[in-house]
Amino acid sequence: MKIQNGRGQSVNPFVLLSAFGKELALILVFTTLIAVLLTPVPGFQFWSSFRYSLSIGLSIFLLSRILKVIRGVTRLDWKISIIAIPLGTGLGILIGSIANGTSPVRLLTDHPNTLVLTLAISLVFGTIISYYFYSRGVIAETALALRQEALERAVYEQRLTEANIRMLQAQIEPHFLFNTLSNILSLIPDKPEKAEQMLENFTKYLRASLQSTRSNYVTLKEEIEMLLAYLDIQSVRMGARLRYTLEIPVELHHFRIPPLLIQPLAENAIQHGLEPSADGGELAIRARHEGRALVIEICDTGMGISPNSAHGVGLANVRARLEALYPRRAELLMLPNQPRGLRVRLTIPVDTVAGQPT
Amino acid sequence: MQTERPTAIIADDEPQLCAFLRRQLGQCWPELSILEEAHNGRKALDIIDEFHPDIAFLDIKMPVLSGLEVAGRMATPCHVVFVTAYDQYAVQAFESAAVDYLLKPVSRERLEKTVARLRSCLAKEPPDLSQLIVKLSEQLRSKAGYLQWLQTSFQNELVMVSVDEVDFFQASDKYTLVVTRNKEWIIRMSLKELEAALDPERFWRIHRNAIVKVAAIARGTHDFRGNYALHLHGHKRTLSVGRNYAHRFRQS
Repeated sequence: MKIQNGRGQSVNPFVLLSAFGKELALILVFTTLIAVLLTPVPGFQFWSSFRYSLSIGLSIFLLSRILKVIRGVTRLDWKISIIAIPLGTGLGILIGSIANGTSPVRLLTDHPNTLVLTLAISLVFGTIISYYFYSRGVIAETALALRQEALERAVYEQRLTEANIRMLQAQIEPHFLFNTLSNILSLIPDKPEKAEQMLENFTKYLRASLQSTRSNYVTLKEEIEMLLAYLDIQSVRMGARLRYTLEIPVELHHFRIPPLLIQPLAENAIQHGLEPSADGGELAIRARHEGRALVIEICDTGMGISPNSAHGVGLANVRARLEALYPRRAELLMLPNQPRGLRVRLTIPVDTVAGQPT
Repeated sequence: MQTERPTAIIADDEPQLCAFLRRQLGQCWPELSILEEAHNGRKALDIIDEFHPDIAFLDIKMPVLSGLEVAGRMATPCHVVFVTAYDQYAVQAFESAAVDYLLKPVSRERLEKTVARLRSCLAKEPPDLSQLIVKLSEQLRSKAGYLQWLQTSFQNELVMVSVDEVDFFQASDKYTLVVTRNKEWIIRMSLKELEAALDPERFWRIHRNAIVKVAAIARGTHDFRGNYALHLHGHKRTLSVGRNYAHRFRQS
């Protein structure tokens, strides 16, 4: 892991040095400008003013720098300035007077008015210039934050795409694919009409899976049809070991939901709950409208989960897609089912009026 | 004296596929007598030990015991033909060990080849599969073992939280705080117990009071005192790294 500075960038000494140099050059420009501005004022000479303004400017600048490092912050703030400006001004006047060949004591006794004026000018310019540096820092950080946000968004979108692709791969999972084909083949000689029905269901399932990567939402009714096609295939495969019921009120059928949320959870229940159980069990899928949310429960009476049971790929995929589609607003809870098995509760936000996803 | 008819059992959890294989075998090898069918591994083992068939057709993926486990536990060895829809590892192993296997859907042609081979070697001792089975079972087992689910409660309901979801664990008094992207849970397991049970590749102890998921770490920062803190994806809070655990993050 690389060492990084507070902004999360890798520290490159040359970059730091060049940033420092740039700020130093800015100080030189500002202090020269102040000296030039003061030259027309009676009692001020350019070189004398320049020595003062340069020593005051450098003192404030270096003091701010040192305080920044001590406090471990990345940019100038008012707490630093409130100490650095007065302290730097005092120090700067002291150094400036020495540079100009005047004793600091004589400055105080012989020219108290000049001293007060210099102090006032320094405080004003010191504050203005510190504010300038502070703003520079804010702008740089905002730009960085924007860049980071864009980067995070890109990463998010990439994650969603990846999750969608993994989802699609899971949909054509080889065991399911080849076992379904074997079943269809086995039905052809004796029960051709059942083979036909299974093939139709399988087509419906595959088509819905493929379309899911292209559309962001399907109606609950469409998802139910896909689910029924899938469950019909599974009940041919598992025979009497799979019993299933769907309790989804008709008034919810027009709700729009992301595709392939319910079916992968049903698949998870079958693969990890019912298929490994010698006697199989029951699968119940229920939906209800609760406030501004659609709650869907997938309950099985299968093996349930123990601390070390393997994870379904489907579960992780559904979770990844929910997080990408409804950041922090969707919920996927795993609860023990009574008397046994697993109950998965999916809660997604919906608009109460139109039944549209918010 | 009449020669004894060869005998076989078929085990597959899908009843339709059991019936299909029985019918296909009836066409390819009419003399073969199918003694019994089983729809799970336990039953398969029982009927093999009861009927002592010459051949066992074993689906790999079955409830209770897999086809591999059945083959490994039979009391008296018989000729085994594994049946699978898709098990890449197993198929490779079968190929290299010259073990019979069938891929679903079973084609007539392939079944005829298998039947021809079985006929020719039926008189011989069945090959010893134990080494192959140990090897394959290890491969299947290695995925599991680490803690995958945490039991906690939420609004008076028991909830299972997948460790996949967890970004970090933090010790507080008697409990451990489990922090996911959206929620916080409380469990009774201590960090010490968690550290021993979790996959050490995925979860790192970073402090006396914290374990973090490596994938959740966004970046690390140093303060001027030299303390190292971790920033996590999607969390405002930072986690400090204890001095004894800092070696993981040192620049190499």
